[in-house]
Amino acid sequence: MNALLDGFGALFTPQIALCILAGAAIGMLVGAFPGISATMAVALASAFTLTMDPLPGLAVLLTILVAAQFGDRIPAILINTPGTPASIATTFDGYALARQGKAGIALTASAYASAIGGLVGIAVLMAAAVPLSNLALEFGSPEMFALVVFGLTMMIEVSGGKIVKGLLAGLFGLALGTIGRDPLDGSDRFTFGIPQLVEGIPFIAVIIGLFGITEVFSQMVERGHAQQEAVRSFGRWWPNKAENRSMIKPVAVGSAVGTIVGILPAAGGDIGGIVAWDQARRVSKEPELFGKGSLEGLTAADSSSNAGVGGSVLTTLALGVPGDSVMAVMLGSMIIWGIQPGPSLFSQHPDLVYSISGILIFATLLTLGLSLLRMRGVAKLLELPTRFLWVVIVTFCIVGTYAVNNSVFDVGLMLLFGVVGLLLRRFGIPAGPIVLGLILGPLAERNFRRSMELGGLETIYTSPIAVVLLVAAVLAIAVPRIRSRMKARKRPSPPGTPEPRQPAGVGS
Amino acid sequence: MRSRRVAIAALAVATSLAVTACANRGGGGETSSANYPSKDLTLIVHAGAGGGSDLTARTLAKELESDLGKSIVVENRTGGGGRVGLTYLKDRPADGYSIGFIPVEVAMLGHQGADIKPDQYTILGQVMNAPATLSVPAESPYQTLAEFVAAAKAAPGTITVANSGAGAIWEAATLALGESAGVTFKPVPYDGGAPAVAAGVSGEVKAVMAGVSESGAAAKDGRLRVLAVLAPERVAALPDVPTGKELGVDVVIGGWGLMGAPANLPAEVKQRLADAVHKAASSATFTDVMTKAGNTPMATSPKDATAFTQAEFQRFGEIYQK
Amino acid sequence: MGAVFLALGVVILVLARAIELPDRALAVSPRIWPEALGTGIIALSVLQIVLAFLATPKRDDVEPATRVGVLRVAGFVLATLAFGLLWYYIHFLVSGMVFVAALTWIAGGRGIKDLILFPAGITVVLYALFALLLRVPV
Repeated sequence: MNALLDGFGALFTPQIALCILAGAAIGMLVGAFPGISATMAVALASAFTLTMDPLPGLAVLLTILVAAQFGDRIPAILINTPGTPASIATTFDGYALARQGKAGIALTASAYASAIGGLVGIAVLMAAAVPLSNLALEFGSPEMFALVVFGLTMMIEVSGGKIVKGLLAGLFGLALGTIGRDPLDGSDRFTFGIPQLVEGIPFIAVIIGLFGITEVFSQMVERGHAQQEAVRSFGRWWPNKAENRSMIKPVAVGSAVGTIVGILPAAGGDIGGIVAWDQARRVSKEPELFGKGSLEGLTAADSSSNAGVGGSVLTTLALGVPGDSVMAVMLGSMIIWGIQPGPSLFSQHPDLVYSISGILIFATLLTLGLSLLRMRGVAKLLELPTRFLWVVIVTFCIVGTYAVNNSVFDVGLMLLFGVVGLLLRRFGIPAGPIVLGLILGPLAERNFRRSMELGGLETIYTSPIAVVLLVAAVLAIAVPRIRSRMKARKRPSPPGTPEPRQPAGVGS
Repeated sequence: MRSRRVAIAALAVATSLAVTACANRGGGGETSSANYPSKDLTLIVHAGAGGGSDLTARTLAKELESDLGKSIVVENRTGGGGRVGLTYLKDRPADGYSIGFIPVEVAMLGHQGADIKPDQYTILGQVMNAPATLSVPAESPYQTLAEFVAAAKAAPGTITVANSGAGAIWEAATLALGESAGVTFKPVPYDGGAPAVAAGVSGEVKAVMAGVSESGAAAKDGRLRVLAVLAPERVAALPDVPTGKELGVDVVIGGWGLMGAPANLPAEVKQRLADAVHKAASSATFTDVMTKAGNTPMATSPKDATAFTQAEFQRFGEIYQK
Repeated sequence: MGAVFLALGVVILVLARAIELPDRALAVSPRIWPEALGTGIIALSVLQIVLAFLATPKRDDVEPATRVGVLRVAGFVLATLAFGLLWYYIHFLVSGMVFVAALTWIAGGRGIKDLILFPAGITVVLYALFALLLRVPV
């Protein structure tokens, strides 16, 4: 308990407060711009913070990370463009809500869900970072493969009822994911001699093209006159009681899924958000609304991707092995400051661990406040005439995409996928499964082939975790179909009995 | 009509601005090497902001700035496992205003199908070494390198060794170690150094080949046992770990970093830059940051560094032949 | 659309067949995964074509395209490509402003406010944020 007081107490200085405030401002700004990722902001900021003391430096860096995952929701909801990959799932329902004139509620609900998810993740990890991170080590290649297969079953759910077209889109995404160096023998594959493709197709450029640019192009094509209404009315800002109550369950599901996914190495907020969206849909009373403007879907996704932040920070500290690229940057700074992450950090410097948790908590609360205050200002953007809005979105997407790798090639690719996305949308082929395939495809292939190298199929069927996940994947496809058959047979059935399966079934 | 006039006016303003902007940007070309440097420099890094190479380059850039008296803007040109950045540097004008961090990939990519060779650059000096370490999980039965090699001899091609990715330096290091010890390991590529080390800690593989900076943390906590460091001398971060040579397997391999510029740099400019690089690489700040990150700071002459790079280029050619 | 995907599937399959096999023995051939994807795309696109013949397509959520809209999309694409070239030669503050003005004009903006003030504002904001603050080379 003493360590807790010491750790939190060390934060009550004007300097730390200032650092958290600065981090929050930078993070929200950066998150709101499509293309600039939290990794980039943290990396650039770390050049300045290296000369500071560890605690103020960590306050800046950690707060940027937290705040970026609030800021990125705003473009996802208002203009269908994820600010960072973590808000891909936010677009599923967030933008649909905005189009229905409920942008106000969507923004408020998203901010609260993000904050609650974030706090849950931090609390769980504060209590049990060391044992949980050891559990994460159990997740080797076969288990990751099984988890990814489970994730891929969602292609059907994000297809919006058009299963054949959805699966086609999903396979297209998977095929895009095969571009780049072969993960095991290292030879170039489908790169056509273009060096920019060797490390895989630039993922952020594709997403920004498929979501942001496609959205603008599609509005242009459908509206002859620029003066027509875009998302303009915001409706209410505060959800009513019934809506509040309906969001409890998805936020709980999202926080749980997000915390678990956050602990896993190589799985970040983007995957957490998508998996949680799907799980919440399965336990929802109104699954048919998901993807068409469901507050449940929105809050599940957002609470989940933020619950992952605490997970990735604290398991990185507990393992001494970074969970993702942001944490790799952060770990670099810590080592220079003389902080040696690993299990011993928790036993020898518990006060530091609590200070870090404290920074995360303050950052979350402060960013929540800023989000709620700032929203009306951001909303002003949408009061611009449509022609200006189009231009703003397109130019910001272009410059943001360029900034990821300082690459003109990426910008061209983004534009290409903007046009491809437009064509696909005109032919009723959904973009969601493409992104899902692109994110999960390379993970599936690598982990499968690595498992084969490590010991063949045996590595998969002898792993209890992998088997459970694969069975869950089969059930995820079969159960809804069987149930709808049964429902069709005997009419008066109790609607929406929750499935007996737990989200992700990971901890088993 | 009105709009057309506005458009023409805008065009006129734009053109005049463009002319001035060009003049500012192109630098005019009459920068003689006598008063070098007369403007800001650009330092090209092949890897993303925040990684080990970026940290090295940015720390060095700060020291170089104080010596050269001009700002140095670090540009990350990422992609293609180093190809994009190295190609970009190669094609910059050799005027001393474009310099770059040159990683070990300069000696490897040429053997992997890319048009990149060491002689396409003016090499200014080596600044760091990141020696390879071979580590086993804490609960592994292998206590020494000799036992580990013996196990590989008993069962060729089944002893799995994790590395950071296909075609990366740590995979080559695994092959080189096996070559040197007369055995065949089974390299297993992961998606980066951190996941490879995690696989080592969890025991998914028999061993992991990684840089000191990557395996160091887990080694200090006792979750990995470092059997050998493949450096010419023991490293500061792991003073108790013997080198390969001490153990009778004479192989020295790992990542390294040079400072360089496009080929055919004017002699005076090269001298000025090489001196600055040498001074910066010997500075207390730089050596301190490098050591803490687990790497070995270096400061060699252009001549030594060029010879070293050529030798490495030859050597990787031989490794990839097999 | 089914035909386009069918062609794509065939291309993937052909390319996958052409992947060079490594000298080193691998547990799984590097061709298998891309080949499976190519085959899957072919099978699904055939199914899609069959379904398209059997059922009349119902266009529910897609509004008809307008001529001016298609022209605008083409204009945006061309303007962006032109900007890519221009940017290489002319400083961002100038080329960016011309570009934003061009986009606004294509989107239907006219007059001083639309073609001068708005582009200038956007360009300065972008420049300040990216070039000065984030040190992105422009």
